[in-house]
Amino acid sequence: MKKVFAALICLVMLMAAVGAMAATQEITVFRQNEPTTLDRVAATIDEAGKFILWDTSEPLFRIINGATELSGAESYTYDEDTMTYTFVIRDNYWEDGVKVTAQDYLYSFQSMVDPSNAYGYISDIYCIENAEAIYAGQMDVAELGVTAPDEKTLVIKLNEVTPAFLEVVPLYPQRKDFVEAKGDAYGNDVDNFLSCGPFKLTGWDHNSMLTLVKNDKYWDADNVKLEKVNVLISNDNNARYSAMLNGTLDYWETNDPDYIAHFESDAGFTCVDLYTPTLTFVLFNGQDELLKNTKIRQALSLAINREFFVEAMYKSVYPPAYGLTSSAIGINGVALRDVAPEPVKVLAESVPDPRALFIEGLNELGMDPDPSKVTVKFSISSGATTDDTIALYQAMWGEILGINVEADVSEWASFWTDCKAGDFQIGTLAWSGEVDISFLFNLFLTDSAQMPCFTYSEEFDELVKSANKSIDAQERLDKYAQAEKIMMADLAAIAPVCYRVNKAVLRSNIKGWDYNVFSTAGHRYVYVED
Amino acid sequence: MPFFHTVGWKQKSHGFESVFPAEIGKGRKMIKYILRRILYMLLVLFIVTTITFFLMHCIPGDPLTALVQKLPEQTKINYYAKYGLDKPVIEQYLVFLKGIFTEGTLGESIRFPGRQVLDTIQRYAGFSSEIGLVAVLIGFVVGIILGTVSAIKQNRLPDKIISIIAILGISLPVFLLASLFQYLFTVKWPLFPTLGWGTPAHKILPILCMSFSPLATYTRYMRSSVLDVINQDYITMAEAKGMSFSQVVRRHVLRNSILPSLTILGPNIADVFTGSFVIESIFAIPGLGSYYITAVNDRDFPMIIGCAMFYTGIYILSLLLVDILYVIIDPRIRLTGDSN
Repeated sequence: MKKVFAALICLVMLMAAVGAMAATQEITVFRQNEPTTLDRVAATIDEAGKFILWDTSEPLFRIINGATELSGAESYTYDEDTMTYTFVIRDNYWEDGVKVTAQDYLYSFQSMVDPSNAYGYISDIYCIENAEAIYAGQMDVAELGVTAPDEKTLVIKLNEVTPAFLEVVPLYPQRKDFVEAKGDAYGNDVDNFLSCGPFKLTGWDHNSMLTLVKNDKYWDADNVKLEKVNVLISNDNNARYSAMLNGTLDYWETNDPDYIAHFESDAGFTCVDLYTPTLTFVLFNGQDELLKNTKIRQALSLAINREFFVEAMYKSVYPPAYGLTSSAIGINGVALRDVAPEPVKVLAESVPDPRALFIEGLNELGMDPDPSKVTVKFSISSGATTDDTIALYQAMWGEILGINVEADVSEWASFWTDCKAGDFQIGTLAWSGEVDISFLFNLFLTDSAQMPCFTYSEEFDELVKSANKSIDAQERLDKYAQAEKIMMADLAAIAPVCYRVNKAVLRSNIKGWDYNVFSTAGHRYVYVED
Repeated sequence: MPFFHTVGWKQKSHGFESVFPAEIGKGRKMIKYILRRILYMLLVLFIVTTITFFLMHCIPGDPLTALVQKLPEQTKINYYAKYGLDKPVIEQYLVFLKGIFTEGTLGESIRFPGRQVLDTIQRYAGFSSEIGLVAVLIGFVVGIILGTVSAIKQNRLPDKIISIIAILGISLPVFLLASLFQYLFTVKWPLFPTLGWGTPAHKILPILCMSFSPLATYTRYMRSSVLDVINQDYITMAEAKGMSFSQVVRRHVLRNSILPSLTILGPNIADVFTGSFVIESIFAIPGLGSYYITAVNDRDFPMIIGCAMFYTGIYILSLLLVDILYVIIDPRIRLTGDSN
């Protein structure tokens, strides 16, 4: 009995040891959930599916370190009005040896606009000629502004100038004969999927793990150093923590200060800030009796001690925000934050005393200039940190401005309904930006009515609209910077509070990682250092 | 609950009336009984399915809202058309029934395009049961033994130790136990793999975690019913007859005290397929639990209904199984219709 037991223990340990003895160029990463499908044009393609496709497919362009770089296209040209793009497709091969052609890219576009596919992210490609009408069933697929004159050339015609076109539009190939042979099952399993990227899919234990192995037929295979990427499906924080510690997992993202502290003190791990495009901010109702005054809004914004706030709320994992866009958002690898100072910081330098500014504002409104007689209603949607948030704002505004803050807590849906109806005074919420820098700015356009701040500016509208239509990166950055200054500082339509940042925790011998949140590089340049 | 509890308890007084299990014609009666139960089962299944179908469509939201934030109106239109969600619920229901009866299909998942609901259940229920059934079995067997020992050694040291284990097992949430085990046995003493599936070693920790709670439950049930039984006259009688203690325990005590534990075995087996969700997601096991829960969260209608049907079926089957076990273990119990 003892012998059997001992043998069993040995066996178990052996198996564990074999598991831990990873091949040199192999890494294990995770996704929170199982990819719904690997069919890039399916209605329900999700982030996990896109993540796998960065490795297993070959888009015309990839976003690498924030900039778009040629990938599946060898070169491209555009005509003078930047409405027609011509791509030269690179010599690349599907894993079964068939050449990737322009027709494969064309087919994927045709599938996206095909109404019967009900592709979900269709608005991303509305900039392509006739895409919207075809998707609505008013035109035939053949009239789409994408053509493939020969197998090396793909031509895309746009409706209007779209500077972020290469970043936003999904430019992935799909092979018609294969997709049609598999029907609905395309992309739901190893046998029903065809790779043409740096890696190929070789195993898929649903809800457990996907296995990607280097694809020797990939055009740039010589520069792909990893031999194998395992993608574990795990959505339990403690499990991932254990897996990081014992070497099962090589990469993790977390915003939990306790875990971060542990990994930062361990030389075996690299911790890097992973800026997300999300901004937490305070929304002022510009229609309100009190808040219609710019100085009042500016004073409220300046009275928020952001350093103190992030320290108290997030143990400074999230950085304080003084502008609209975080370091994640930019144009072609240049973040707006790199070229423009944060507007609220600049404003703060010119206003030494927010309380005096607040009193000035009260005088302008013809109100009693005693701030202690002012009570503002602070609306917030209920969540785990609601009470702490309320207490912090009460403390900050109470102490610095001397006003009273009354809290109004409701569920997100009714909170947001009230905000949209203008039935609030001050609210706080978070909003996520997208790879296209214009997304966050468009929220504040007078005619978009997406963000109920009710503080609008014609100058802002002009700047944003002309920046949206320009393809000169420098000019765009300048205009967005000016527009940002107007909304955040001059008008103080909202008060930015903090950016969201996750920590990427990586085993320190793993190099070549792209920490840009919008990166579509996949694991193409990642390698394990000896 | 007329369909679930069709076992008639026709108990005879304890005593010396001899009971011959192998009565002539009993086998045939048993088969008839089982057939009737299966017929009832189909009826229950139909009712549950119908209710689920309509309830599910009462909840706001659809699979698309769970996924995409900024939706052009056109996407919704195309999407509803693609999955037939634009039709009246009654019509959708008829289409669903037609699918079952004419093609024998439960439809295709909406969230996971191209995955047939039936295939998914067939493929992944197996993984769940590999963990879950073994865990319930271990929990049952060990629980029975511990409970019996605990009762026999009442108020002595073994009883106290076992009681502590049982209380821990009932009160410790499974996710806590799983995280603890993961930390202890994959980080502190790296004996087992943390996440994933494939080798037998991957199964050990999840099974241990999952068996803990049933083990505790069976221990508690068993302890109290054994205590009940050993004070009965017929035990004293058996001992007086000169039977050895172990014989008394095996022949009389166990048989008579196991019934309450058997009663909860049914629901426990059924829970394997839904209750395993937490363990499956913590250990990255490709089981059905994750499918069921994500289906509900994402309003994946065909998958919800498929899983609900499967669960109902398993539940009723396990009740039937338990009822049959009753008869085998305690011959005093008759199935209804047996004796007329």
